[in-house]
Amino acid sequence: MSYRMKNISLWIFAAALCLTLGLTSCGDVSKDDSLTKANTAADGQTEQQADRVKKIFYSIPSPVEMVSLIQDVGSRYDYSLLNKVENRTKYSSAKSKAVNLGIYGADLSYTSVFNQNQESILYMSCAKQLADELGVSSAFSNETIARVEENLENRDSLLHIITETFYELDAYLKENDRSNISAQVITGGWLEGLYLASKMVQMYGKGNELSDRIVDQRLALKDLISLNKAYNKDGSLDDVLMDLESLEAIYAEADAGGSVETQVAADGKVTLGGSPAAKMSDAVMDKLIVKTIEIRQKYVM
Amino acid sequence: MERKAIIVLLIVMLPAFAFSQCRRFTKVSCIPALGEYIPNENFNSAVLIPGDQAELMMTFYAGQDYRVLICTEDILGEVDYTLSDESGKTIFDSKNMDRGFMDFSVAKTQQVKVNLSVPDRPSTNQLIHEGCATVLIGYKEKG
Repeated sequence: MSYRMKNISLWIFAAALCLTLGLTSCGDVSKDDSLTKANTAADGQTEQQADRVKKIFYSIPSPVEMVSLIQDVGSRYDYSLLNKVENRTKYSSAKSKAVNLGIYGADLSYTSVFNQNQESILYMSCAKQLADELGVSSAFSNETIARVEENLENRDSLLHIITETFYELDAYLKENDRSNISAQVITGGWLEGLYLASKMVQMYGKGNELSDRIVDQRLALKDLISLNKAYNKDGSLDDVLMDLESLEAIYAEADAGGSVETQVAADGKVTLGGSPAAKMSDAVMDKLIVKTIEIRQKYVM
Repeated sequence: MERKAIIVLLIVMLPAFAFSQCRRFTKVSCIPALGEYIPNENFNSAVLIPGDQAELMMTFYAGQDYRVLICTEDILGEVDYTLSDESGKTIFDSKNMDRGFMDFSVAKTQQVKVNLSVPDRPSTNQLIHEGCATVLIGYKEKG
């Protein structure tokens, strides 16, 4: 290649990189770098300081917390409940890919909690492919896949690797101004956890720890709705919000329970709460389960 | 001409490197401190400056043990934080603590609020210091 051709190639590469980085990262420069900036205001408070608003985060419990409870209450592993791996090729829009990445992630937690190694590899692969298609390959690196394969027999290590992988994915999305995609992944994971718990309650009955956990989801749902609203700047989360609000309307029919009382033991160990938990009638629970299955079915197709 | 193109590349890539600073900081300096607790999957990190405040809301499930870890870059100085329960009662206050994390059990599922506050230090020069602050949550089944 001639010197002139090399130069032209380099400039084309530079221009393409400018465009790519500009598109993926232009929104958050002032928030997410960590540089030291000049103070230019006369009164001692910079414009930057004056413009700052309180940063509010909404954190949603991991699906692994729900599927661990499913195992703890003695439910049997049921592969037929999970989103089929063949469905992966049906997801063509960014929204369906993001929601189903969350769903496959929860299914991966489920297979891992039950030590189903072959299925865990399959669901890891599904999640990786959807992440690649969403341009978030870095979270599912070859090193991560190798760590999963090495730790298939070690449940706790495997759960650590899975949650760290999804944490890395969430970090990448948020740092690249793709928080709406992050919200959809988180929503998919939460919904699949609720769906799996609902199916178990249908199979094994109500009045146990698992049905209590379903009732408790009203609080996580409140935060999930707030999170989706916070990232719904372009209206891309309107549909998801409508589905979540339909669940919220059913939860509103439940009794919220008593007030809490925090206790500190003599050894300094703190325990939050202790008063009566929220309650839900069987009829409301049935309605909630039917709605959850309906919404989840719509997403997995 | 080749040198100019390389300079353009460097200028363009600098913000991209800065983006991943909080992610790297959290991965290297914070996540290991969760120990045996399984990390939550949500990335809750922001670049803060003196005078900034942040708040995190999350549901904590009955029957589980949790560790909430506040991890900040040294440049921010002593960041104050509190954790309050559903009734608004302050359970942990960094002013009375000698470690950077809070361990507790949950008997009734509830929403807990974590508040962070970066002290508003008087500026001795024309510079404002920015740094990452991360809230990490880990859980384990009750031991």
